[in-house]
Amino acid sequence: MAKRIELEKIVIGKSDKIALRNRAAIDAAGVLALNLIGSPGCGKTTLLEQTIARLHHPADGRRRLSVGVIEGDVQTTIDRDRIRKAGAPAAQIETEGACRLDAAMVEEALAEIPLDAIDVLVIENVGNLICPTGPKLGEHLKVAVISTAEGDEKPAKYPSVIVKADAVVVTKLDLLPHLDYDLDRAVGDCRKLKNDIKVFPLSAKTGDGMDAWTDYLRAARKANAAAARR
Amino acid sequence: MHELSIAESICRSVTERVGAARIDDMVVEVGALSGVNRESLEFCLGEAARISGVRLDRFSVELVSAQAKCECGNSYEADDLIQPCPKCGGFSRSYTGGEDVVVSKLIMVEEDG
Repeated sequence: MAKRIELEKIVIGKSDKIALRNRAAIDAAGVLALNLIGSPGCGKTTLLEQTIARLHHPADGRRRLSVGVIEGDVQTTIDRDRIRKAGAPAAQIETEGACRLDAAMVEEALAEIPLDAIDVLVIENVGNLICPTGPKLGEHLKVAVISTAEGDEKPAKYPSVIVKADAVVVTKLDLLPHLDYDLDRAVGDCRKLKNDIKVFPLSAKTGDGMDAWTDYLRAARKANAAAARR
Repeated sequence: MHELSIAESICRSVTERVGAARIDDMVVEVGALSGVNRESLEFCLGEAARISGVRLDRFSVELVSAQAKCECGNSYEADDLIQPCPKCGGFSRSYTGGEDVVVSKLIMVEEDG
């Protein structure tokens, strides 16, 4: 006679445990970590280049904040090279087909980032507005990036990324004269999905709106460091 | 799109647990906020089991709600991230649970001899 044996349950995705480990390493270095999520071509890397320029060389005499970046792409090291050229340490994850980063990939890449030498770590996820919203990587904040060129209905059509995000950056504001983009609708839809969400419309190209964004990062880093000390 | 790799990792975990034994029944619970599509995982599980040689007689994939707590004080079950609070209609809420993928039931068959 065959015997039926009921076994204990199994939680799949040790990813969360690794995410906690990543977070511990990031916190130990007093670093603020962001998970940047947006479609391919929405301007994540350009936003980063300009963010690095402003945090590394603040115009108003404020303290320099050093940025480190983990780049996630399906293929190539193009983005890592762009970030290094912008003056920040960067590691590249090539997922070879996977549609999003997970905590184990980030843990491996963290070994290449000098955490003690940076203040802000940005993990640029694979270009995709859906899949990356799931796994925790060890970040403090999730930031959704949507560009005006994608259309103003994107927050309504991709609600899960907005709901999970702490902040939304609307990029390519300089294209507004060429588009039928209703910024109020996009921002309104974000707020409808999450009443207290921060929204930063900006143009990394012209610099319009960049100060509000970098001020937010400075404030978040400060708050995070204060919380870590408690 | 990521469901196949999750299905593969379920098969790996099951093999670690039962070796080559036959599985009589398995239930996988998918949290509503896990970002995993139930139907897609169900399809991928069948394929992943076949490819990895896991002997799966029966299995099912079930959706598990998350608990949402609204700023107004109301608690409700949420099957996705876009449901407003049914009481006040607001969108200021926090969630607990519903983020995991769990093999909640696993029955193996121990053959004689």
